[in-house]
Amino acid sequence: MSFADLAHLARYGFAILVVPVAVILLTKSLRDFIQRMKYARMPVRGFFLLASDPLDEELVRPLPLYHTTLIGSSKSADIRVKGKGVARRNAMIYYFDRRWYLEPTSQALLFLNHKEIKERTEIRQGDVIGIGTQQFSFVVDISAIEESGLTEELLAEPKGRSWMSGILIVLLQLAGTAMIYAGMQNTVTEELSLLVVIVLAVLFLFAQLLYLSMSRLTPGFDESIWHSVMLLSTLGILLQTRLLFLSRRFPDWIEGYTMEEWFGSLRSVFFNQTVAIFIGLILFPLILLLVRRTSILEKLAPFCFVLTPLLYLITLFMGSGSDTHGAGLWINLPGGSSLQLTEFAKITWIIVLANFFKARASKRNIIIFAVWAGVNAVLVLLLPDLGSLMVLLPTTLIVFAIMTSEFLISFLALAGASVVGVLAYNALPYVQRRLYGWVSLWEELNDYNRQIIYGLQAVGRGGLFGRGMGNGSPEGIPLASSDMIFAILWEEMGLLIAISVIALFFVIWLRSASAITTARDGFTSSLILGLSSCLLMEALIVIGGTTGLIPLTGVTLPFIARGGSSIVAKWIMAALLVGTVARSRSLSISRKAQKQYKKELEARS
Amino acid sequence: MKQLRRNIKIFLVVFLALFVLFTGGVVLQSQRARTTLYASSGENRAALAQRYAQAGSIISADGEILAASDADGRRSYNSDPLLAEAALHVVGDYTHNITHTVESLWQNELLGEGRALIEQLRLDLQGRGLQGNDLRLTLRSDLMKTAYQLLGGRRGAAVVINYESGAVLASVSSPSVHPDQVVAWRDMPDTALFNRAFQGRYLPGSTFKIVTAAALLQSPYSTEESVYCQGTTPLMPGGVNETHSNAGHGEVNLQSAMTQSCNHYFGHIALELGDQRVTRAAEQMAFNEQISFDRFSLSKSQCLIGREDDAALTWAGIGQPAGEDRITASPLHLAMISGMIANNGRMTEPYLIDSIIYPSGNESVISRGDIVAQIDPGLAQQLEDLLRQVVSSGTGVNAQVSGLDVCGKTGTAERFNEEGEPVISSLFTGFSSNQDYPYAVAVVLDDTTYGSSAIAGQLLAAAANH
Repeated sequence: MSFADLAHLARYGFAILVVPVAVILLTKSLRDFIQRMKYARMPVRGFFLLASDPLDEELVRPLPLYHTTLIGSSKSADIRVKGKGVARRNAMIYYFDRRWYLEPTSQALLFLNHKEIKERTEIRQGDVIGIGTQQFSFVVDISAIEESGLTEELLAEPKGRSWMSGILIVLLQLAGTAMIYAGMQNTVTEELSLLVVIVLAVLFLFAQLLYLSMSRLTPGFDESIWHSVMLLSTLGILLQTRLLFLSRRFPDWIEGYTMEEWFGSLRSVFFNQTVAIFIGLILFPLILLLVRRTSILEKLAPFCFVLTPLLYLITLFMGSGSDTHGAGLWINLPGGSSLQLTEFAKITWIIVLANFFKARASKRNIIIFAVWAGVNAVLVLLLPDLGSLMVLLPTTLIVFAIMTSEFLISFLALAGASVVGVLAYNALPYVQRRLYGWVSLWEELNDYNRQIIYGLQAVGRGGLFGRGMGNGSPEGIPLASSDMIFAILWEEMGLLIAISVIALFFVIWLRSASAITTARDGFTSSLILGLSSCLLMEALIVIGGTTGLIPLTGVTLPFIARGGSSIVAKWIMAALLVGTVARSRSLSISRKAQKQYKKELEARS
Repeated sequence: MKQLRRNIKIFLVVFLALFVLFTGGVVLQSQRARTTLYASSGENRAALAQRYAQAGSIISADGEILAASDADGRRSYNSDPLLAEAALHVVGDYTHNITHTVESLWQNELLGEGRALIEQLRLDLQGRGLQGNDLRLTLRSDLMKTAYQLLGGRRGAAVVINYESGAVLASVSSPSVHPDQVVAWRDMPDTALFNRAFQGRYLPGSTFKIVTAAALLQSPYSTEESVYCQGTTPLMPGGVNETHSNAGHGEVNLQSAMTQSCNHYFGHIALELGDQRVTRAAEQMAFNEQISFDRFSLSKSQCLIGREDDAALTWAGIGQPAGEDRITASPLHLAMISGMIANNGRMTEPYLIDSIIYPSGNESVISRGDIVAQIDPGLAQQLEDLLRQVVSSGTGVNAQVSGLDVCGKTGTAERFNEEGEPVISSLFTGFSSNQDYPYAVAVVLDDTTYGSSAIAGQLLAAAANH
């Protein structure tokens, strides 16, 4: 049996390993989400508002506090107050960076300790909040915190076959590595194939050790998100290695090019790619622990406000590589490697976004953010990196709409963006060409849609199970390993795995969405939402683009496409996501914050 | 918090809908890519060599390998360059530089794609999952070579079909080149990739008199009424005249006019019948109709005659349209018209793919015998009798074959095209009416006014001596 035939048989095995993981994770996430939505809202342990009855001083009711608690006469308010002078959404109380804040959300009067307040103010034990005729006092219940013994109580991990996903992924890694070793025999030397297989084995082993240790060390570690990311990443590593080494023919038509030089170049590309994943894997636990244990992100947020436009400016002035991607997004580093800062700017953007919209924001803040985002958008357009914009715009709108409930403004922003889009279409010829290529997709082959048509032809050949590893036809598809990787994935692994990949990105979003409602503060909620939406949007845009559903822009498929910066940035996002989701699983505020409150209370008494 | 939960619920519903829609859309696109983008001229050629590495063979009716992939994954064509060149336009090349060939239109089968799941799994377990299916064609290698040799490098086309079954026994277009040259895309003679037999749009010339005669036979007008042929003097100002008989044919009736291919007579009766009767007779023989078979399509044969211009109508009657009129036919269609007359008025749909041979050895034969068009058997018999004399004693004597009852019609087209260049061709369409040799033939030679009937005769002889 030749390798091609072996791969054609092995494709069933790959489907059997990948599809169940996607199905298990998707059903588990959905079930868990629905369950969480059914149960009552989860208040933050140890913090209350005491409401005194205006008619009877003796009658006092404790009211639970959530990470964001809305007070007003509206039905959607968490604490409803009726009476004269009470606005529908009068005020909110929210938790951020170890402090509780009171913020007016309307023009109606709001009193703190009998003084009117106009902007957000920190509140402490015993403070009295006055809305209308109603008075509330803010209470920190030491006993509730002490009962939990200064430890964090965790929400139970949703039931599901986590171990099964883990085992299937390990099997996939083993099988994939074996296939690559078998396939490399036909193309390169024994020595090189052994080297590649050892590197892959070390990489997978390291990832699994990381999983085993981090899932035990980190309370609230989300297995589903990890498995999704790990599976995507495994598929990515296997595909990229296959593109480098399998079914390759030495380019003997290049004069003076020797076999050794060819092997050398293959090896260096492989190492670059692998090093990026190693960097990602090493950063993962560090960032995860930092995010889980400290409030470093809250501290970083103002810094990111400045950093984001700075990253774009640096790229604008120092970027190169316009001949390869149509956009000069690469910063050359000494030593021959290059860095794509725009990938990291997505992260800083999301942190800024989360900071602004950790709860319903004031008009002033919305305007400040809009101006900031506008300036950045202009910089991105100047690069031009339309891909970034196409990811960040929907991400921003999703976070904004969900966190602030400002659906009207979101809609207006979307309409505004459409207008800008039309203007961009008229102003930027490369956008016109791209759109023309997309419109003429089913009619003719031209320079602007060749890539997608070749990709779609590959997709069409893939069918249900694909053609097997190494049996695809990436030759002739421009940017097969980066922009068009999804088409290659489909051709070689088939529809079932391709849809599993889409499903895995939805699993990440679903897990995040359910974490949002249990998070202890709005910033964490907002950040989780931003990160997961960004990953999902990026995946949908590139998959939609590859398959001709939408006009393609140069976005990379997270965790799968080639590109060191993209891979490192995506692993950082994964670490941030797993870290913030882990935060959201505790029933009370963080341990450090608890200590701080306890100290304060003791000092007072 | 209430609001946040509500928003999340809204977005969950939106996102789940998005997931379903998106997945559906992606699957739809892949299906569309499968059907729409296949074999289009815009194929990813860089990938084709690799994809054809284990493709199935294309085999002639008599077992000659026309195309096959070897153990190293290289695809090659018949080792006899004569046969390889003769079969080029039908078989094609794996790089799909020629479109509408077996290699491109049947690539799904050749590559073994789209098999039933169980069948595919069984093959995969045997380690033959990537192996493609073989295709057996109806082409006879001996006839292909003979036809190609007879054309002798001149521009033209020759087609032999079995008019009872519809099988295409030979279809050759000249000039041609070796498939390897097409793959490498070098030293390409002018129009060598053009399949004249299927795609050619020829003026039918006097072969169209069969249609005019059919129109007359179905009309109330008498076939015995004689017309006086005036030779080179036009029938009317701007109307038809004789080009090969200066003195003219004298008094002629239908039979003698057909035998001698008298332009005056058919110009006259076309005028008498009117454009509608002629068009109707043409459409009975599948003019103005898209003929497609086995994923191939012929260039649509046209018969578009204006009703105003009498002089033009006389030209239309002899198959040499004037002015705005359009009358064209593909060589294969001409052969099908002959076959229709021989086959009691039934025009069977042609076919090229005899059977698909699966890696398991199972052979699946595709059922055939659809009727493309039909005329009255009596009318067919009358036309056959008319055409018999053309070969026995008329313009088609060169097509005679000893031992065969050959009937047919010659044709010459001499016209200036829209660019003012002369378009000249010699045509013959005919058949053997012997029951044991149900073969119809059509031959077209460009740039000459004679020679096609002799080739047609030799082809019928070669077909019968099989």
